[in-house]
Amino acid sequence: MPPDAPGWRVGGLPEAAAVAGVVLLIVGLALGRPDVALLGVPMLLATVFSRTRPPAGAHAVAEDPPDPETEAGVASTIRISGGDLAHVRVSAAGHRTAEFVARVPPDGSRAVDLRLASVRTGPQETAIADVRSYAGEWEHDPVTVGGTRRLVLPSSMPLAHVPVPRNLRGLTGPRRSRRFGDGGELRDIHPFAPGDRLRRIDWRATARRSPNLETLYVRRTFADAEAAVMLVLDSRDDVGTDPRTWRHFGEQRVDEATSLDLARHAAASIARALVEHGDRVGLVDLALDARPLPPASGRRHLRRILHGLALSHPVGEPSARLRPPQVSADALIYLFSTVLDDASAQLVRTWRGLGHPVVVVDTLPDVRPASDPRLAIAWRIVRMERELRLDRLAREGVPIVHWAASGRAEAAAGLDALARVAARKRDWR
Amino acid sequence: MRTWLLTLRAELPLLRDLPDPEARPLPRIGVVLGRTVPGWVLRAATSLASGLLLLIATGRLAMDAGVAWTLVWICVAVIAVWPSPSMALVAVVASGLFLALDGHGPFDPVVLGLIPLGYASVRLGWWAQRVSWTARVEWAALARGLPRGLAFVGGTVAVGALVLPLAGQPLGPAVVAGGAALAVLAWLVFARRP
Repeated sequence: MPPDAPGWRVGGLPEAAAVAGVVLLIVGLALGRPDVALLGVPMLLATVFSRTRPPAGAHAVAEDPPDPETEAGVASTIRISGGDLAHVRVSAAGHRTAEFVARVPPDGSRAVDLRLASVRTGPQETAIADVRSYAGEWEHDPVTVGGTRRLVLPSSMPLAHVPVPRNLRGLTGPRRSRRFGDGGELRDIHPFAPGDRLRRIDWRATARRSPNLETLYVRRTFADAEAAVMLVLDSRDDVGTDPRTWRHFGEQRVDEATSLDLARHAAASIARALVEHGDRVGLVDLALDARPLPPASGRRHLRRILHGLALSHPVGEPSARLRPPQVSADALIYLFSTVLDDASAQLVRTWRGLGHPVVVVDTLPDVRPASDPRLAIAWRIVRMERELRLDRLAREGVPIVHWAASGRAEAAAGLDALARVAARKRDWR
Repeated sequence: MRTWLLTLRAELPLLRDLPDPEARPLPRIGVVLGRTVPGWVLRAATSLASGLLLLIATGRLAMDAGVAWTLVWICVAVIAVWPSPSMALVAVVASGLFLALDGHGPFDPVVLGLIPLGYASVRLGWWAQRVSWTARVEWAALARGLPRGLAFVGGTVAVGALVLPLAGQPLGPAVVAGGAALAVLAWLVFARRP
């Protein structure tokens, strides 16, 4: 082997082929049978050819520089150069192992795109590829690439209208406040009073109503304002469609969204709709004791929220909070929860008691029926308790939006209807 | 009845650990490739090529048909289960020995068909040994050594076609040339090993 070909070695075929060819040649010569001798000649030629042609060119296998963040699932590209064949075995958690042999151009590299079927969001790993290259009869030692971490940000779906609090805040913003102030929308024409600015005087109205200028009239407008919304993510647990995996027995399927994936998707959709409208959005992660992300607006803040959503994960066993997380005054609260325990319902009641309107987004995925009779009974009890909790909340006037696969299509319409009701009602909590 | 069986399955540890018949297969990893051939096709092809090689070779020999078919089926089964170029080479050498023992000498023209068949079975055995049943092999990858193989096989068959009319005549220099060629080949193969 030449010294400039590290990692390359001759495969097993030439040795055995040479022995077979020599045996046939000896038998043919000994018995005077050229036909028998000829039978082994192609094998001998192949052996000689492989020995006289060591592979040229550097061998390299690498994963293309990955984008650490993505919204389009887990995909990667491996680039192989050197040799003329690449035998690749690809593995990834929750997937079947894939194996293939691809042609590598003689003087170039071959890029192979790998895409996982995972629909999960949050920190994920790309596929791991074990690559063995061949050049003629030469084989290269296997090289392993991939397995890099990616942060899959939650995707979002377009929402026309989402409920916002009736009590708006601030002096600027896209919404119309109920109080007077600087704004674009006319409220009324009013006699000039102390505190009114001179530039507010409407001379046309004054000339019409008070030709002698005894009274001056000003145009009064509604003040501009913005809505503040807090997204509260109940990431204390992360359950899938199979109840067998709920207590960490067995693995959740990667091609089915879990409750946390649904919660991230719902929160990202609502956050995007609000931020694009110019409202302020904050984020609270119930699994962490960290300070909440305060409400703000703008695309950079939306990116911050998406990061916060993607990085949320259960910490230890689900536990009830002694004190609900503090949220901004007058903020509307969206709680994304599976409502599998009383803690979430208790939080809703506490916030409502403090005067915050709350919308509960149910993020429990469509649970598959359990075949195990004991599990089926357990799930039936849990389901009935959950339905009881949701019914009680609904009776108390808490809007509930279902975001599971079967209810997602109606979620946008449900939020739209809720936004219209909220705009009409004076005291919507 | 079904509930009773499911309860029994859940209660017995031995049955509990059995794979769930209702479990769906895991999802596949998406890979973008050109036109491919599944690995089982290569395995089947090398088995069939080796079996055909032995079938033709034993057919030239005055061998009992039952024994010949038994040999062929054993060869096909063994290569289907443990495919490797070594197994295919054993079939090639066995075919050569059967040819050497037949009564169609000094040059049996059927060898002109056995040469490409033997080379193909060895090459397919190389592929079948390396890839699994479910692997996918690009057509372009399979065609990689095709020109070289065609040159080897075509050259050998051409030489055979030239030697065919001369077979049986006393050619002392040819035997000497064959011995010299054998020595050169042995040197190329073994003396220059890394």
